[in-house]
Amino acid sequence: MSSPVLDAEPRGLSPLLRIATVVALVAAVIGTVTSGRWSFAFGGIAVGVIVAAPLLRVALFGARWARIGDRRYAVAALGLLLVTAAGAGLALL
Amino acid sequence: MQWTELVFAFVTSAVGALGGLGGAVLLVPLLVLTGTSPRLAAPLGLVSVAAGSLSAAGPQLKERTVNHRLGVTTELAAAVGAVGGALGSGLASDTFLKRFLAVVAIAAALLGGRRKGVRNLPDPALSATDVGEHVGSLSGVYQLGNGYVPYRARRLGAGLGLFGLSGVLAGMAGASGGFIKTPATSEVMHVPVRVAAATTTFTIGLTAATALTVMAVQGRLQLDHAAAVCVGSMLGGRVGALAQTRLSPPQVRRFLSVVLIVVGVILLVRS
Repeated sequence: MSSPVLDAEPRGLSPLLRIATVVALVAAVIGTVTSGRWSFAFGGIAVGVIVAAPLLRVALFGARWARIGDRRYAVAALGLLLVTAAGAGLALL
Repeated sequence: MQWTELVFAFVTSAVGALGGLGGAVLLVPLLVLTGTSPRLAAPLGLVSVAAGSLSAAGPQLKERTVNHRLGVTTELAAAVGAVGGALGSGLASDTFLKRFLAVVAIAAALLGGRRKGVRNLPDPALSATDVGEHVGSLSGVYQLGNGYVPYRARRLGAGLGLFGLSGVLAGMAGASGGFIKTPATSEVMHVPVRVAAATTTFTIGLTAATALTVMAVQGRLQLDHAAAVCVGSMLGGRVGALAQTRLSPPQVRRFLSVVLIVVGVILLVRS
């Protein structure tokens, strides 16, 4: 029986998530201490980042799995992103 | 400035991270008890979940404790449930959502209090270079103290069913569903608790992102309140994670279970 092959994380993922965390926190702080349209704008940026970050993480892993030939899990990642998109689409109807 | 939401999010995220139950299951009932409509409290709970998940991502990637293949596979079921739950919650009455939330809080208390310990044992043949997840399967190796423990997920079908249920809960009640996902991954799928908890932290961020997208489209997301919840959750989650190394998680989980039962009962009586 062949030994299992260890996988690595997609290149650049860790720095990207660190940046996303800082951007979300800074935007949320500004959105909290301001009021009116500034609060809404920066709150929107914070929410946009915390929603986009995990989806981007899945997309990067899916792309990596597709590249190394791990097709089953690449398809699962694509399916997950499609379900999210379908949910937003259904809510629009 | 939304002080109430900020303080609630900070405290619930700190206590939630400390106890391993997640803070949203406590935050949403608290917001409802203090006058926020369940329809508006649920997306704020999801903001708390997504923010906490993002702030934990860096350290967990460094430790290589998250199994992304397992997370993505099980999350497919949870995302379908979350979309259904979020769409359904837009049609449900406030009374129904309050009662549903009460049941979720009490269920979280009971499940969180029953969580068990480590099942898999270290393999002396493994070393630090073996830590991580394996290509083509739901398996891997993680570090436990000075040892290295191999694992492989089992009973995927049962796990997917429970993840689907946790997704419905997230979509309807704004709770993370982590109190179902971690025990389902560790106790049903036989994945070590530490890997299960880290993978759950990743997947609850995904479930929250999916359900939040739906709720934002429905116009239920108050962005000014969300900013305060985001700040409180990110800071509270970090404080809770730091404090976790000093206190006993089972004791905190028991305390959290009592609080959740009290909140659940109050919500049931009020609805």
